[in-house]
Amino acid sequence: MITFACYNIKGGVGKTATTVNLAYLAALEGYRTLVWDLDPQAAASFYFRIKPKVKGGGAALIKRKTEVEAAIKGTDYDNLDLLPADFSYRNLDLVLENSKNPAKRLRKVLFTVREDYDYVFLDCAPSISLVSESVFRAADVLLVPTIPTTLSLRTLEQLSRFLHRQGFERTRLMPFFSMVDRRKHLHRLITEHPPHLPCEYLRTEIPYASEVERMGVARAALHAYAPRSRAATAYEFLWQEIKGRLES
Amino acid sequence: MNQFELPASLSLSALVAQFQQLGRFVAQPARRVQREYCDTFDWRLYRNSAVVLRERYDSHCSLLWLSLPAEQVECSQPGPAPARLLADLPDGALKRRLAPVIEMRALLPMVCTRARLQVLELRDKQDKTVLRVSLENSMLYHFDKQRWVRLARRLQLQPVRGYDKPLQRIRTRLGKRLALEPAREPVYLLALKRLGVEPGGYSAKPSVELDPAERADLATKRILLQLLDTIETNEMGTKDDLDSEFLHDFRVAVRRTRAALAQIKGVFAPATLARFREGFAWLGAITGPTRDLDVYLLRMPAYQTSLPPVRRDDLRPLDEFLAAHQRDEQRILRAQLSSARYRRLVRGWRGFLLRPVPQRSRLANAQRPIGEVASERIWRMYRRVIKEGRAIDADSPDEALHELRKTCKKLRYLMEFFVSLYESGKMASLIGELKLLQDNLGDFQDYHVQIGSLDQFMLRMEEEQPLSADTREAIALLKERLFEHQEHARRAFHDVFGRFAGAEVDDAFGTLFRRATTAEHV
Repeated sequence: MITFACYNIKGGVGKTATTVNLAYLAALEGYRTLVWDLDPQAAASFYFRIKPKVKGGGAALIKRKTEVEAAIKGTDYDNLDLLPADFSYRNLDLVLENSKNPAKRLRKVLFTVREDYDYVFLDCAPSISLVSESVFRAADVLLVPTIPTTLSLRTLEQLSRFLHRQGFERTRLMPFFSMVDRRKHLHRLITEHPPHLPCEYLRTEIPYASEVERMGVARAALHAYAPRSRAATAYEFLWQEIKGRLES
Repeated sequence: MNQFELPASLSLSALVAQFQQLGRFVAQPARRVQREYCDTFDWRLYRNSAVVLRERYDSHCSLLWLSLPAEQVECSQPGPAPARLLADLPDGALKRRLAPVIEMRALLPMVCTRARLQVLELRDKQDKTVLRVSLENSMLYHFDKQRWVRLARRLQLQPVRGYDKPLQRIRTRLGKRLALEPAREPVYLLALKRLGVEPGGYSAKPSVELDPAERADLATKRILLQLLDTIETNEMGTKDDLDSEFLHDFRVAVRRTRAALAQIKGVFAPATLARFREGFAWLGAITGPTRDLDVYLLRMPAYQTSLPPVRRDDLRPLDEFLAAHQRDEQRILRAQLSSARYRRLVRGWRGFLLRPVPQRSRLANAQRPIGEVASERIWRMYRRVIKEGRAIDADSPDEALHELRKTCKKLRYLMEFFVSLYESGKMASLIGELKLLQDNLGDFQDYHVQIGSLDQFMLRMEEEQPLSADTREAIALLKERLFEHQEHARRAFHDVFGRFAGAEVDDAFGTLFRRATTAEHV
């Protein structure tokens, strides 16, 4: 089982769209795939039309009072399941703070389903907190959608430094440019000459596209309603590139 | 199983209307689906309680791994229609799961159906699908009758994980309102039954049940008849080159036939024996070149991984050379197996095997009980293995190991022919011991032959077109690796043979074969 976390300190960068679309593509190839919607805003659960509700809330999951298997729901797509969000996830930091070994909690929850899935995607809430640390510990790969703007790059650098300082060497950082608008000079400038980081950017860019925004209306993965769109193709390339990077 | 029989009186459209009264069911457009239920020729999936379904409708084609008997989809991936071998399938979860099960064998359609399929989705308030119901009316292609016949009308409930309540609710109502009977058998197994096919029925291993008191000539004929069946069963797949194992099983059955003719002595008239021995030697010879190339092609992935990643591509010319020559040899083989000579041999052989044995025979062993003859032959061959093995030391030439390997093979074949005459557990354990020795000798010999063959291939490749220095170096590196393995096998021989020739195995062979021989002779 390989765990991806789609993460960024900033919000509105395309995390949920990335999670849902990559998970959809993995499932389409037949891989047993789970999305864990960790964001109390429950956008991924909304896209999958699944009620954002976990019996006993986040605390019961973390303390393993609710079996994770029992909380998982099948989506409308083959091979793709969801562990839904719950509004109580907004207090996940508190729950973790009061538990033993907080950084390892999410990893432990996922450990119970390690035989059931080939890929797990964590859709994370924006922030940097105890939950984030637990995410870094649980994930094999951090996918970081980054808008090519100065502030976004600053947060990416912050993240990179944080991971290095805190000793998360095992977690592979894979940033990529998201919501890229080639009409904007700054976007072109940054994507063509990204600042140096101690990791390699994925080469695929996800364009800024109205089809992606329509995910909220269609409440479906992009490929389910616009499979030939430019953005859908970009997600396909991104998924192939990620898999290639994992193999190398 | 979530499958129910649909009575012929109930039309699919009437059912759709009934369902729409049971809940918020949304009918998907009806589809015509073509399905092939695939397995390997030797039923590797069935033996793993599974079948792979290739499903086609409109422009979609997908492969689904179904568990048996429930026919639940456990894994799926898109798959191009004609792909039969692993190498032709795109990467995906199903391919990953298939690889260790089917290995080099082709996925062949065991059952072909076409169905009119109507899927109903039960939706909740958020318009999320919480249960799928598929209604289907399927026809089966009957290979013998060469036409489509009715197969089944089924309703299948396809639950969605985490939504048990709607499933229970609908299941209960199906029984109460529609009085539907649960299906007794999955569609695939039902179809096989209709076709008169016994799943798991093929095995290339000899499995004739012998009676120890049976006349030796009669028992031998029965063994040989089964081998001939194996040869003929694999003939079509060999000619069409469906996968490499048809030819492999074909050749092994030919080799076993030759071993039986040579080793079960004094049961058939010398003139008959000479005629057929010559015929089967020819069959062995014409099938050799293609099989040799098949083996090297099967080894290519291992050859590549034995080299550092940067050098792996340098072996591509070798791969292409082998594939091209395999195609040429396969064409020649196909022609040979379509020849009058081959037909005559097989027909004559079957005629001889089916002819009743003479009531009286002057041949030494023909009328003796097979139990006696079997023990005698096995014991003698076992002693020969021990004698040849003990004579081998560090200075012995490689040929001595090669000779011992051939003797071991004869012993193995004899034990397998007569396995039903002895206690199965003891026989299995002795065959296991022999196999360890054979593996060691086989490895040694294989590496030896491979090194020689690679030299030959290089010369022939150079004749066809000049080789790059990189390819020459990669092959040289490969030879070095093979040589290391060969040395390792040779060093291990002493210990492996020591175990086989030890008191424990010797006692077991003695108990099973020597005493029986002595007691019956007395």
